[in-house]
Amino acid sequence: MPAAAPSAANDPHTQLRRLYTSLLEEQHRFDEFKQLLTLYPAVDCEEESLEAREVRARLNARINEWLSGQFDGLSPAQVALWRSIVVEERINVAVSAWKETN
Amino acid sequence: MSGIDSLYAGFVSSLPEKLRPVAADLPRQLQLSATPSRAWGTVLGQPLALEAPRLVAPAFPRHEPEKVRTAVFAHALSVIEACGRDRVAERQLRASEELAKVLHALRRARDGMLDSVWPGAVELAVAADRATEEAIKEEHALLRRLSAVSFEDYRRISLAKLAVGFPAAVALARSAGASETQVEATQRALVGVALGLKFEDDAGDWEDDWRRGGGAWAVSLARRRLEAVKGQSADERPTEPDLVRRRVHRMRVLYLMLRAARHQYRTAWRYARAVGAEPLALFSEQRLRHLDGLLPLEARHAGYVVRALKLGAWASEVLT
Repeated sequence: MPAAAPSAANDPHTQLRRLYTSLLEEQHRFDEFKQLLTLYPAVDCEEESLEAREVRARLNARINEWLSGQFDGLSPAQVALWRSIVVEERINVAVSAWKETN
Repeated sequence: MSGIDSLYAGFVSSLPEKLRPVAADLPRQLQLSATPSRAWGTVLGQPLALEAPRLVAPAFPRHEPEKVRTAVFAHALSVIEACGRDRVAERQLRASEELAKVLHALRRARDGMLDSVWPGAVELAVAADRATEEAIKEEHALLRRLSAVSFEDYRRISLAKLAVGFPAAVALARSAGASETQVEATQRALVGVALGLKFEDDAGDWEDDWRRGGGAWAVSLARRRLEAVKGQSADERPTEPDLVRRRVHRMRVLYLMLRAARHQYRTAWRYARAVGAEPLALFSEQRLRHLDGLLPLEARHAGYVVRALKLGAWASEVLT
């Protein structure tokens, strides 16, 4: 039996769009998002540290609240990319990784 | 390499050897983005910033292609030179003897080109230089002191600061036999677009401007509006970033700046259509449509324009 297609709300692309809209609409969310990303260690290693995992869990929990519980969570690679965009303000990061992970 | 970049490379090679490294590095020095680039189109963003005469040329059927090319390059040199002066005033660029000589050479090269487009253009350009110089000084003095500024003063100073952006297009129009009415309409269209772009930029980038320490128009405009609300002088000058941002948002200054930009684009569109400058009319119309979408969002979610810019590159890659 073929796997069921994800519902519109569960589609990763839709989830990212909703996160994006949520950040645009509320300054306090954008600030908190940035603050949590700042706490995420910017180290380039294969394995996510315990500290990093905790920060990512907090971030995902907050996003989940903002999106009323309809968010699967950001992966370590995605958080690292968000960090480079929002915290380090690097605009030419390799966003292709996003597309691959979604 | 774009036309402007190759022409600029020619300008650099015409300079005395010891000035060439400074001139060649100017694109990288003048840009504010973190991405190093030596392409002027990347550094200065909008095509209008570098190519205004090309956008108005179709309005004048008698224009000569060579004069359009010369006017475009003269315009670009003028904009680059003014941008250099602005960055020095903002202390983002270190003043040096070599830099001063490069800026002087830019003006001289521009004047030679303008003179070949239309005799009399140099006089316009020199007057515009003076207006821009004064406006840069006034702007930096006001913003650095965090002075309260009205929208009328903001428009007046911005227009004076942009003065160097008009003589080359006017010279081209005159050389192509434009009537006084056509010249007037052309200039009004260019003023509209230039002000619109400046208001938009000042709204979207205000947090970056503020962080660099030289003040920001949004903050000074908010202070003036706060005074109007309180009916007294706002002596306190908050420097704590969140407080400043809250004030800017509460006073709806970004919305008002974008609305002012929309008004300018509308004016530009009207005059560009009247004179037959279709590329300029099209550009104005595109900016109008963009702001028609953005204004309601900024009205509902203060600071939307800033956050949209911060996430814009990501969104255009990932969400499209």
